[in-house]
Amino acid sequence: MVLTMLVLACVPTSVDNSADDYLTLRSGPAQLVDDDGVYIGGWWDDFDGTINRDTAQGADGAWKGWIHLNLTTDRYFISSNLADLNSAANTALLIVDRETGEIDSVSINDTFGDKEMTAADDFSEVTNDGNGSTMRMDGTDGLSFALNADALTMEGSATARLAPFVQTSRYHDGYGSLQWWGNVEADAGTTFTIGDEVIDLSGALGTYDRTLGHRRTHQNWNWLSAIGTATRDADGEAVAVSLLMAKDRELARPIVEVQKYNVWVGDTLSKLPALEFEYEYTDEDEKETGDWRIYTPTDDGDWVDLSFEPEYHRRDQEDYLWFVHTDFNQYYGSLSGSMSIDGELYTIESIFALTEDSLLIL
Amino acid sequence: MIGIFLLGTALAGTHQLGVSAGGTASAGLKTMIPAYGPDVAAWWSLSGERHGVQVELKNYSLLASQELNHLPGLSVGWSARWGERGYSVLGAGGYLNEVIVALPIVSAELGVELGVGDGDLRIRCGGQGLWVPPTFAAGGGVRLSAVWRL
Repeated sequence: MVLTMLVLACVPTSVDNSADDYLTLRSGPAQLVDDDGVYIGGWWDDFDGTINRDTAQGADGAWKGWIHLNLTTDRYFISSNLADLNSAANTALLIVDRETGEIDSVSINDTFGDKEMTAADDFSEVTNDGNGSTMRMDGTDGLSFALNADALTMEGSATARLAPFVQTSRYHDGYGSLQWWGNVEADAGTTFTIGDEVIDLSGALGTYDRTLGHRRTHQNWNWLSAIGTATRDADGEAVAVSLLMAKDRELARPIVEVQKYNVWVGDTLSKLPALEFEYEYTDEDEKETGDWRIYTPTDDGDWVDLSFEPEYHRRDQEDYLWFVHTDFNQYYGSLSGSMSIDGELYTIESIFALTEDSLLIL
Repeated sequence: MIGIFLLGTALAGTHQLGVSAGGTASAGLKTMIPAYGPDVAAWWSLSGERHGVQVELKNYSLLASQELNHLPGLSVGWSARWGERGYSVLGAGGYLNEVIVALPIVSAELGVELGVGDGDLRIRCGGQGLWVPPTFAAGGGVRLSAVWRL
C-alpha cells in the first residue's frame, strides 16, 4: 500500500502547459522528445522530426498509438481503428445506420501473448497479423486500409482534403503524445461489408486521428467530431466546415490544457482559445445525457456556441482486475448553432456529429 | 544445495496439511484500480526444525469495478518458524486469468501458530501481503488457517 501511495503521488493533478503556447502555429521540432527526456509541446505546421521514443523519461510500457478513421455518408456513420496499446491491441469496426439507429460493432482485444499487432515507430502503418488488418498513412496525403473484424470488413483508401492539425501535447515527466488529425474523402471503390451486404463509401467525408506517444494511465475526455456545411451570415454562402475538438475531464491525470479545439472553415484551420462541454446526465448509471452545449467561454477572438442533440448512444465498458477500466460513451446526433471565425459569423443548421464522454484507465 | 535441503527436510521433517481462508485488499500500482475479496487455500507442507516448503492450491476471488474475478492457481513457498509460535511463508505462484497464461503472484504471510488442546490440530493467524510483479498490483490482508500435523 505504501508503494501504491508513492506511485499515486508521482503523477501530478495537472500540468502547467502555458509555456508550450498551443495557440501559435510553429515549425515542427527536429525531434519528438528533448535531450532531457521531456516531450516538446506545441502546435506544428508539420512534423517530420525524429521519433526518439527511447529518449523519453516515460515508461516503455506507456508507449501506445493508433490510427483511427471515421467516415460519414447521408445514411451511415462508420468508425474504425487499429490501436497498439503496448500490452494489448484493439481492432474495431462500427457502423451506425443513421435512419434506423441500428448499430453493428465489433471490437477485438488481443492481450500479451495473443497480440499480433505491429506498428511503425511513427505509426504511419499499423498491422494486425491476427486478423489480417492494416492501416497505412500516405504521408499527410491520405491513407489506405483493409480491416477485418469478424463479420464486418472495410477496405479502400481516402484522400486528404485539408492540411491536418499536428500537435505534440506535453504531459508530465516524459509523457506526451504527437497527433495528426485530418479530414479525408473516401476514394472510389471504398466499401464496408456487413456479412453479405456491401455498402459503397465512395465520396464519404471523414476524419482520421493518428496518435503516438507515452500515454497517460488515467485518460478522461470529451470529444466532438462533425463535418458538414455552415452558412456565412454576411452573404448567405454555404461553406464546408469541420470541427475536431477534445478536452480533458476531471478524472484525467494529469489534466492538461492543450487547446485541441480545431475548426476548419473552407481550407483554413483555426484554433479556439477555450472550450467548454456542458451537459447533464438524465440517467447517470446508463450515462444517458440531455442536450449538450459546446461553447467558448471567452469574448476574445474566435468562438463557437453550439447545441448538440444526442439521438443514439453507444456504451462500451471493460473491466478486469487492476489492469483496465474503460467506460467509453459515444453519442451520435445533430449539431446546430453559431460561430465566429476570423471575424466572420457562421450558422450551422443540424449537421451530423459525434461526441464522447469517456474514461480509460490502462 | 536445494536438493540436499529438501532431502534432509523430507527425511527429518514434519508433514502438515492445512486449509486457509482470508481476505485481501489490493490496488493497481499504475492504474490505482482497487480489487478486494476473499481467498481460500488447501496446502501441504514439509517442515524441518526451522525451515520447510509449502505447496498451496489457492483461489483469489477479487471484486474489481463491480466484477468478481476468480484466480485459481498453484503456489510454492518457503516457510520458516520464528521462536515458539511465530511462522512465515514466502511463496510465488501462477494463477489462471483472462489476460495471460499464468498471472504471477508473490505472497508473504507472517503470524502466530497456536495449539488446540493436546492434539495435532493447530491454528494459524497472520497477516498476508501480495504483489503482482512487476508493477501490476500490491495489497495486503489477513489469513486464518487450520493445520494438522501428520
